[in-house]
Amino acid sequence: MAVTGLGLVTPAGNGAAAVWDRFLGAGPTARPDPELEGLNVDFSCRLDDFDPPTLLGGRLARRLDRFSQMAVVAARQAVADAGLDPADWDGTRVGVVLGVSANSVQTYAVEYARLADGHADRVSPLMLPRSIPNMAAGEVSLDLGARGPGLVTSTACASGTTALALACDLIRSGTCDLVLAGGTDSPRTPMTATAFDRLGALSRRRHDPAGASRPFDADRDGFVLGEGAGVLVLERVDHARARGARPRAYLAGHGAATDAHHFTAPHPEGDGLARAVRAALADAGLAPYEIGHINAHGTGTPLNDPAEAAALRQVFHRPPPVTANKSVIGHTMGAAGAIEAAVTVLTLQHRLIPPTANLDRPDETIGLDVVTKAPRPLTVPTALSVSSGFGGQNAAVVLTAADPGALRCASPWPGSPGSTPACCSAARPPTGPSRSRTGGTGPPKPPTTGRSPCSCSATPWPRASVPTAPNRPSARGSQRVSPRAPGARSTSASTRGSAPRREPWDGRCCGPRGCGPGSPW
Amino acid sequence: MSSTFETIRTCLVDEFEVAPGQVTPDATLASLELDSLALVELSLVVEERIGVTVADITPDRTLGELAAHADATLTAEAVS
Repeated sequence: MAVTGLGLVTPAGNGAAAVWDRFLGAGPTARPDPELEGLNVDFSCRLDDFDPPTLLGGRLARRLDRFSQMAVVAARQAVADAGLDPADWDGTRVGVVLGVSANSVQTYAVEYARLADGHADRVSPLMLPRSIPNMAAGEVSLDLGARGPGLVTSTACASGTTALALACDLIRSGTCDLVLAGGTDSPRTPMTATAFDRLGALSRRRHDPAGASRPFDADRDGFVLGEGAGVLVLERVDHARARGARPRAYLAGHGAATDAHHFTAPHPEGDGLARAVRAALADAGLAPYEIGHINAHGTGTPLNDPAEAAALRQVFHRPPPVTANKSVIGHTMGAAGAIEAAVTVLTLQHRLIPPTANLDRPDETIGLDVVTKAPRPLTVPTALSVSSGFGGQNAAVVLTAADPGALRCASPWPGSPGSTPACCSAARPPTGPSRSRTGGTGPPKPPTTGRSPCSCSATPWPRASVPTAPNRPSARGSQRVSPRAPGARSTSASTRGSAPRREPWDGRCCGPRGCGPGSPW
Repeated sequence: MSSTFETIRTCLVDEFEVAPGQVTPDATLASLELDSLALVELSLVVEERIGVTVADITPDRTLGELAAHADATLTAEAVS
């Protein structure tokens, strides 16, 4: 599944380039919010440079609630970024799937106030078509002429990630050629701020708003409200290739699982999240040690961070470097998973992990290698983005690099000296049956990622070292493993038994002759 | 022509994408092919830009009548 376009409307800026620059600097965007003045929590991460009448025209801006305004702007960006022209596409093959959680709190606040003041005659006739959550997708479809399935996912703070997963399946099933997938939300209202504060979920760091969102820090005290939208153009690989599009990355797999533990608190050991991650890895055909980076949910609440860390530690044993984007832009709710997946795509493209802001005193119980203070080079072209939501709903997606330069590997596999491993070859044409999850009767599909990430460089490794059992892909034994097209060699399948393995994150790469330093890119 | 009519005219041309030549005082809203929801949107614009509530915009009204109604309401509010 190719990711061919990104659209971002965030407190860190609009558009992929601006957002990426801000994330590399790790400057938090939280600041006092006039709309929240007088409340216990009077700050948020809000959009700059977002003027709906200018961006959308007065009529459309007036008709849409803020969450739909942001979605339409982000979708337009994503389509342009993908080099698509809606005038040229077959709209019946284009889907829209957006995650929405907080929904239309802006409109509800205004209209309920009118009714409460005795002005029923002033309640807008547009209230319902403006506020129902599906309108984020509906308005994007209308704006761009996307006439395939239009859907909204709602798994609370995992909604954006869930949307990517559903979009992926719409393409895998043959329903769509491409899907505009992402999330949007603007929970930044006095009621939402008050309600989350009453739950004890928000940071009350009023004396230092910029330092309030501090995931994995010992002094964290809750999350910061944000707002934004993120849209990714997901596209069948052969469709993208046929029109000459250059993917930014690939969506290689996804997984979801529910805690069934508590209505708001995560499972203390991260049970559901761990299962979601394992399912995503299995879907991608990758083992835990083949993942080079994790974009964490990282809300900065006292409960989330240790539960998330526990989930990652149980899957990865020694998890790869982690970052938490909410330290910069706060919690964008239904948009969070999509924005974070987009940032993960940019991480894979630029081979840099953006730092987590405000991590001054890491919580010693977390046990994760969290990137902070400065960007860190990414040396493995695979990443995971995870999300968790109220209701115990967890989702994860695996993303892999598209840059062929990232796939410098040659014959790391036993028995194939001198040959080019399958993982380095170009994307393959569609062969074989469709994936079993789609029912097995659909048209042939190309391998999910077009090319699988490589684990090793051609450099002979100076010494032997093989990870011990906890880092082996044992979880795969109980997970669904999707069938692959003939010839589409799986790196994880290849690494079973005596195959080479990556050391759990320590900057080395292991081949059949041992492990050594150096980049596997 | 009153400033109210000009405000309505500008709005119809700029935001509702009505051809400028169609926007005359004698044109009915029906002739502009604005559906019922578009009329609701137009009433909101009038309220926002001119400051009067015109809840009874119907397709058979002309733009001139709409502007006159808004002006009359404005005047009445100023007197009262």
